[in-house]
Amino acid sequence: MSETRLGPFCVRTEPTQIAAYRTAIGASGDDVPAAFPICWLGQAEIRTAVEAACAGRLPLHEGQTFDYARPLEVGTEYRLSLNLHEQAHPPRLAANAEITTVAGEICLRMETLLRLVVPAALELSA
Amino acid sequence: MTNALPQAGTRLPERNVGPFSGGDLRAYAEISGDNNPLHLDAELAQSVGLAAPPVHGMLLFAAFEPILNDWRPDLRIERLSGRFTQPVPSGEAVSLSGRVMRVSGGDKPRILLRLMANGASRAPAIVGEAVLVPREAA
Repeated sequence: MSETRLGPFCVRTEPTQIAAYRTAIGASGDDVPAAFPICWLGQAEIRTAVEAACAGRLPLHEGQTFDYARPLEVGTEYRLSLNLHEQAHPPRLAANAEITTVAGEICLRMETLLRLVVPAALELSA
Repeated sequence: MTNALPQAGTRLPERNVGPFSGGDLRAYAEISGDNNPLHLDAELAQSVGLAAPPVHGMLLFAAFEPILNDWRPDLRIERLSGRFTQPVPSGEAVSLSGRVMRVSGGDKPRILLRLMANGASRAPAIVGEAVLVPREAA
């Protein structure tokens, strides 16, 4: 088992990205979709850190949680701190993110659970 | 004006989403940054026994939000949690459903819902839960 703390990273609720995300999930309205922050894991510097923790293994998304203390606002900058916790048996990576305002007020805790497999060992049940 | 809280046992209107094409998955990968090759590479998917690349779990999971918003626009999501239990191959429609499990009143009411996504096999692809709160209590 290992644990790595990363960040804080600068993330934004970019209006054009929010609009594209809403379209992709069939949503309308003006809010930041509750699941939108998952996109921040795809941000280059965060993705690089997660990929490094995967160490060549393929991540299979097993679970996801968003816990909001307050809603996010469109067109706003936030800070994302990441804690990567790796389990050995079976190999899993829990990416726990805490999103705060620039002033440090907590907005959201997000947990992403990834099962790590080598492609040859992939099974349908994974 | 305050709307009445939903009652335990109330079912959400069931909604079908998909089928998602390879193009849909590529578009979602670009927007979300989740370009895991398993979702995009048919050959890789077939090599692990899947008939087609599986739909991103988060694409299906996030599709619950429009259902919840359409059902009760006066409520917002405080918590959204799900386990992705079965892959759904692209080209397969998915049925999204939900049910109110518990309603707590008081100064800050909370509505707990169980969420289910079922593919063609009817086996749950996602089992999840949402907690909704009144928007004015945010």
